[in-house]
Amino acid sequence: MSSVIVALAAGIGMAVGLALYHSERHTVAWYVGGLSLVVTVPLTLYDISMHMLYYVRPELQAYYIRILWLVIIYAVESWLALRIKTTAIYFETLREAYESYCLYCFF
Amino acid sequence: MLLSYLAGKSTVTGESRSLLDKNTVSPAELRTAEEAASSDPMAILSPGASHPAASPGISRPLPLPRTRARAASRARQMLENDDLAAAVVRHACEHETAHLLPPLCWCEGCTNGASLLAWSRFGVMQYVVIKLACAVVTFVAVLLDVYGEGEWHRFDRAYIYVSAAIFCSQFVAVYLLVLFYHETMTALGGLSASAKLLLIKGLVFATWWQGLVISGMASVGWLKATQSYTVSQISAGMQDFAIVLEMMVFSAMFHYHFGFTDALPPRLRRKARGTQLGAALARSCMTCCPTDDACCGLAGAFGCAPEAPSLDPEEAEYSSLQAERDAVDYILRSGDESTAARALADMLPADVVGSAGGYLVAPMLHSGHDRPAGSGCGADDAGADDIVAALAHSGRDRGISMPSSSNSG
Repeated sequence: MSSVIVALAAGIGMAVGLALYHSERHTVAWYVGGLSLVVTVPLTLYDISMHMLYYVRPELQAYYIRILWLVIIYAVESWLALRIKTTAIYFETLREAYESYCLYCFF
Repeated sequence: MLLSYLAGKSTVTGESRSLLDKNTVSPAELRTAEEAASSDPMAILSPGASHPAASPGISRPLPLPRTRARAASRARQMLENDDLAAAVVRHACEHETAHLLPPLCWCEGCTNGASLLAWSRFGVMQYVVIKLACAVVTFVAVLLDVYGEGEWHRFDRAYIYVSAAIFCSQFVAVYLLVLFYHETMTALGGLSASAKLLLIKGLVFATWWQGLVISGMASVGWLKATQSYTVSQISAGMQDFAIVLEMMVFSAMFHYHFGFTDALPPRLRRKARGTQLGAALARSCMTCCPTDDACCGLAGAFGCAPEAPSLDPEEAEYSSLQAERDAVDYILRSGDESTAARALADMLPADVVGSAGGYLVAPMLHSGHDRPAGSGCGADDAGADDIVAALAHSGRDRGISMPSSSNSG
């Protein structure tokens, strides 16, 4: 736990350093986004894996897993779009498609 | 997920699937069942009950009668989905109409039971279709360089049309979903449905609204172009950055509201909620997979060793499914309902008999009552009484009381 906090603090320190000494705001935003992604993706993947470990009510948990994937897909898509502006539209279309699929599955 | 329970789309696991149709109960059938027995909510559990062909005979020849099989499978489905789906159905039966806010008064009176279900489904499905179509249009427009992100004033750009379409579609979808939630709120109390609803709405709809607001800020000139970025680049970058940061918050909230403890039985869920993760893990571990090595290691790591090993989870599930299927087959083939019910009551765990035994028996009772006169009514009524008596007896032996809903005979 303490090592995680130290790593996060180091990451935030680096972000501050980047903001101070690096003129490109784009890079700072991408770096900070990456930091939040480091929290988001493992936490959500952990939830998904716990659902798969204790897959006792498939009719309920299948939906939970699909919804949890939504978080990862949103986060990763936005982060990539932040970095690679020219191909952002492809990621965005894929994200919308998954969102529609996820909603469709409910009905 | 709850709508799909009601629509009968929810599938039953593994082996019992072969007995079920994909769509066991369609909204139309729900509606007819509702009309046939609006006074008794339990009647809705037996969709084919009002059909004359539902009359069982003594020592029926195979193939199995469709309506009885469906009633039995429906009841079994209710058992597997525990009391949640039953509560939703019952609630939808009890509440006649909802009063709608002004823009959508025209569908007032369509909001009870199965109609509400159909309307909610319509609300979400139209959003799915329109959102997907808009994504395709956006994709093509960007490739043709006529999209014009954030350009509200350009009517020769696709942005304003796409935004307007999604805006209207989202309005209808959110409205109908809130209506559905309002109608089923009390029934869903145990699963913190309001938090889930808000989280999914926040994820899907609020992120879109935020994008709209940022493009609006760009178009009224609040965002200024810098030396290295244009306004549209800043706008897109702000949206993406905001989403990445929000997803961190969302993942934390999803961790609490979409955690795996929801899948545990209510009794266990209550215990697991509010305790340490390790304790919850260990508890669910003992319930779900007492002999699973990885799982036991995990439980041991949290200082809570599993109890004496019982059946392998797959084996346990298989055997319970097998027993259930055997019992249903026995009922359907033999026609000797009192013996079958007694066997069934003995087979089921005590808490199931106490909470859901009535659901299992109700369809049999109803299909017994609704058959035309002169087809052995008296004998079958006696059979129905026997079922109740057998279940009550079995319940008494285990120190539990029967649900009153099963005593309609």
